[in-house]
This record gives sequence, structure tokens and C-alpha cells, in this order.
Amino acid sequence: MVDQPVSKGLDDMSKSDQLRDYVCRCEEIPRSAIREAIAEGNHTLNDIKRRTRAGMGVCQGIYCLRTVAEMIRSETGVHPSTLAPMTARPPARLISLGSLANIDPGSDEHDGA
Amino acid sequence: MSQVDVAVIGAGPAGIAAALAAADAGANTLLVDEGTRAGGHLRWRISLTLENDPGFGLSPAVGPEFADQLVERIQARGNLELRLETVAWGLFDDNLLGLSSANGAKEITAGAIVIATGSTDLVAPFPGWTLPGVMTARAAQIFIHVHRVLPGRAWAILGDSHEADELQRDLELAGATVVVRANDPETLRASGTNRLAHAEVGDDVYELDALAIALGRQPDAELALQAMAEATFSESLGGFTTMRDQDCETSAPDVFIAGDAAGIGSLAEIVAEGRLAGLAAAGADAAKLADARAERDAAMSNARAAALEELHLRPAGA
Repeated sequence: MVDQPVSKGLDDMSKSDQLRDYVCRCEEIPRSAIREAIAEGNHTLNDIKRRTRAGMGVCQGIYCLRTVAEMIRSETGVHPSTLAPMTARPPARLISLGSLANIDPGSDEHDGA
Repeated sequence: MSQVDVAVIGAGPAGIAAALAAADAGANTLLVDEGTRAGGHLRWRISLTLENDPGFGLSPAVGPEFADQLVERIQARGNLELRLETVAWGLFDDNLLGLSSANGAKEITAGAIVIATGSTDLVAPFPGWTLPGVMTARAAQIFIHVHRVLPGRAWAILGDSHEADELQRDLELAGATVVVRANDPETLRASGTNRLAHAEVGDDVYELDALAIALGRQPDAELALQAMAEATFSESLGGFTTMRDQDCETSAPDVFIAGDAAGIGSLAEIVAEGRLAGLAAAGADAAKLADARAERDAAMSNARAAALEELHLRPAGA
């Protein structure tokens, strides 16, 4: 199992931590963890996402998707055109649970237009 | 019954073109954007409209002024509502669109959706890339042109893209120095104590206070993927790209996608495409659609045409 990421303040980070080549910044997944997952046989974007949490953070994979695809290509020869993108699930942006819980479908001023 | 005829997501150049076209075709149209002002990248890629009008019929002007004129045009349309600081967070079956603003979340239904959510900068990890002082080219341009802040004096730029050249010119005009250009993230290493101070490019070490990643842009098509639109990979269009027909409709019914969100393109290309998508989403008559298709084809480069050709799902109307 990959360790759960722990967010740390920059001041508390060791110099080596600051220099890590995180592929997924949101979940703090370094290049070595992606490489290990590929070596274990995870050759799709969704497999890597499930195995490592890369792409499960705030940006929902926008920033790491291409890097992971390129790593799969360089490690296995699988071209990105044969890969599906990571599954997109709502919400596409951060929204509060409270606002989701209080959705009133009839409240919009366009209602009835 | 739908609450609006056409909902356009993203008020950048493609989204504005789509919304104006849909409204002019008679559709009750809603245009939403998560930003505080409409205009999208016109407000930070300020040289794009300096010499050429991309197809709006306006005089060339510096980006923000050009965008302001578009906002005036939007406001003059009685059947077009612009809602800013409104996030589109979900797109579900039957064109149910989740929106969220300071007033809370809501869901509305639209007869048709035009996704014009633009692009995100491509990045590549290298040691030290999470240090403060390392940013995307877009972040640097937003600092300079939107917030009027120069985030560094001595810069490295990673990438040999068009965006890298554009950023170098912007930085130099703003009084900064580009110390080094690096092309390969594999040979780049950034370091510093709690913020960027040095970059190693190969065997050479440079003193810096900012580094911009300018490797190009990729389409932002997350909402189309949520709607289960088919997508594929196109290197020349920036990465994972939504499949669509010649009128910009995706494989999800009544969901259209246009502009950089559908594949990175020139401003003229994405404006012409936005207009076509807006008309198609509004159900404009065949003659208007044919004109818009011809304008789109005239604006399109051979490279984009070839890349898009591969993505066509089916002939229009089939």
C-alpha cells in the first residue's frame, strides 16, 4: 500500500521533501510511486489513479494526467491514444457539502422561462 | 421544460462567441464563468487582439479593452444573461447543469449546453518544482496583466512553445530578465531554502527568483467527460480531446464543445468555432449554420483541420 499523503507546511518539510518530483501535487505522489505502480502492472490511467491516488485530489487529475500518460508510454510503450482519460466525476470544482445539501432545483430565476 | 435554451460554460473568447450567436439566433441564453470578469485569456494574453480582430468585428485593442467591448455587447442582448463568479461543477443526464456561487449551489436544465471551458497549462515534474517561485506561464501572465504584480526579476522559462516566447516578451516588457531558457524537464532542477533561488540546467547553475513552466496548453474538457462524451488523444490538439461532429456536438446529445476546450487553437479558430457551436446549440436554421461552417473553415489552419478531421464522430445531422 502507498502511504496516505500527509500535508505539511513548507517550513516543516525537509530539503529532500521540497526537492521531490511530485507527479501529483494535490495528493503528494512522487514519480517513484507512479513508476512502482506501473511496474506492478497498472497500465491504465484509472488503474494508476486507484493504486496511487494520483488524480484524486483538488485538481482532479488535470495537472498529472499527461505526466502519468507519458510515464506509461515510456515504461511500457503504450501510446496515450490507446488510453482512456481518468474517469471524470462531479464536482469539477471545489464546492461545499452544505451548498450541495441545500440545492433547491426550483430556486433559479430562470424557472418557468 | 428547460429553464434556459442554451447554457454556455466559460466566458472566454469561444464562450462569448457562442453565447452571442445563440442569443442572436433567438435562444434564451445563460453564460457563466467562474472568474470575476468575462474575457478569459484575453485578459492575460493581452497581445492576441493587439493587431488583429479574431472575428468579432471590433477594432484591434489590447486584450482587456477588447474584452470590455465584448462585455458591452453581451449586456446589450436582452435574451443573454452573464453570471460571473459562478462555477459549473457538474453536467448530468438530460443537460442538468450544476452551478455554484456565493448564493449556494443550484441545478438548472438547458436545452443545449456549450462547453467553452478553455485550457490548462501543461506541466512536467522536476526536482524542486513545488517550491514557491515556480509557476505556470499562465500564472505569470495573470500576475502581470490581471493583478499588476511582477512575481520575479530573474527568470528561467521551461519549454520551447509559442507560449514560452509570448511569456518571455511579456516578462521583458514588464522589466524582468529571462536568465535562461530550458527545454527539457529531465535536465532541470530547482532548489532553494523555502523558495526558489537556483536552477540547474544540465551542468550549469543559475541564480533566479522565478521559474515559469511553458510547455504548452491542454484542453479542459472535464464537464464533457462527466457527460460521458467520447474522447481520444490528439498530440497536436494538446492531449485528451473530445470527439465531436462538424457542428461541434459531442457524442452526448445536445452537448457542444468549442474553443481551446475542444483542442488548443488560434484565437481566430476558437472564435469561429464558438460561433458555430452557439448557432448549432440554438437550433439556428440551415442557411445560418452553413455560413458559420464556411467561416469556421476559412478561419481554420490546415493543421487544426487535419487534427479535427480525425475526431469527427459522424456527419452533421446524421
